Amino acid sequence: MSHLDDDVLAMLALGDPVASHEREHAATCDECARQVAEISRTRAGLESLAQTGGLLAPPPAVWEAISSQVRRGDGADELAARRERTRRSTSPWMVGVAAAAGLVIGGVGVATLVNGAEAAREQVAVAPLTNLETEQDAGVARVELRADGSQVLVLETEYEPIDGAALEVWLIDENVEGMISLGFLTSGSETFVIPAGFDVTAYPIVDVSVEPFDGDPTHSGQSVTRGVLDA
Amino acid sequence: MGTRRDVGSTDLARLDAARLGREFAAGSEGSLEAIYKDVAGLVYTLAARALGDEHEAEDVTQQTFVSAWKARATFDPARGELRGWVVGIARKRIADALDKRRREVRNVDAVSALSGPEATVDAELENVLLAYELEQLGPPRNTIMAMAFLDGHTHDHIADQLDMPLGTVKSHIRRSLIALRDRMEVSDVAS
Repeated sequence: MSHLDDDVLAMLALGDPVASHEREHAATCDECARQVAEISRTRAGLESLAQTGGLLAPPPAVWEAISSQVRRGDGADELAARRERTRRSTSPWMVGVAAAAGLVIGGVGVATLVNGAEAAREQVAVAPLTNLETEQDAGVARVELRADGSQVLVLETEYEPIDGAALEVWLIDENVEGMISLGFLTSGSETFVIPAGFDVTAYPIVDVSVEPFDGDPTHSGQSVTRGVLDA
Repeated sequence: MGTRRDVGSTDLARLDAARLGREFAAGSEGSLEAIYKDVAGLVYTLAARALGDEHEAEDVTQQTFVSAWKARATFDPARGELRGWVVGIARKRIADALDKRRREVRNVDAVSALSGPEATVDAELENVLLAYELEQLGPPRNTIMAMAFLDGHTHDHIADQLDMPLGTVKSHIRRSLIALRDRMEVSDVAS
């Protein structure tokens, strides 16, 4: 006989009574047995929903925060700021997610330029910088603790504007997997605020990359300057 | 493959999804809100289950959609559905949050023998996807299936409550079961 139709397969998976010839077919036909097993798995999954519950809806504030953040086009994070904590990491080179995403995912960079009066500062870590092309000394990066408790990364390095691209400053972990963007270098001496709660010691590599204006927020892979912070 | 399916509605949904994917990649206004309405519940529930913390789940949900929007130019509609791509971003974000938490905890005591963060997320993923697909069934099937499986009501009770013949309720359940099996097959392929 021909294979069982979906309705009968579902009845078998649900344990509903079916005609004896249909039951016999299911018992002897590999294809139909496989389908019953599959549908039974879906049924078991549905039954487990009774314990876990259905979908939850995020509070409306989440969409409002996304919407305003996207409209502003910057990297500030309203929800997190409201709770006075900032957690952020970007891993453009991590391709583990590619299985599901099919693509490399970019993160949210925080670019905050510090200006105005210089507060009292204490040096936390320092990284001699190297020009990766010439392997010559390219200045220094320092992590400093300011009087108000915030941390900043101070870069004193060579700077030359590039046509059609910008220089972006990153902190990267030792595996070169996780990273955070601190913003763009626009002069030879610049200070970047490190988000509160961000653990610099876990991201000791200071990296400056050439980022073409192509709308891609991930690291281009073209690093020009690097150094490693010694804490 | 099954012999009888709701091919028409599935094709329509696929066309809609493909259109949304193209609009999103092109940065069209409204496309972020459309995909948010579609999968925010899935992303948030997955984050809340894996992280066990509502505030963190809110953060991850926000980060996921902001990241997706910023990286929209890298979404290739030819390579898959937008919702799968967004869920992929969420998966990574949640794993990162778990990983970070683990690194913080590791100094205090040795809890590092647990399975990897990706595995923790994926363990929840199938269950959350099924809950999502159940809602996608649309009325009256989503209601019937929720009553039968989430609330554990008998088929008689559902027929009574919805003022529907018992045979109709049973038939809806069977077809929903098949539709969900088909959808989960598609999800398996996507992940």
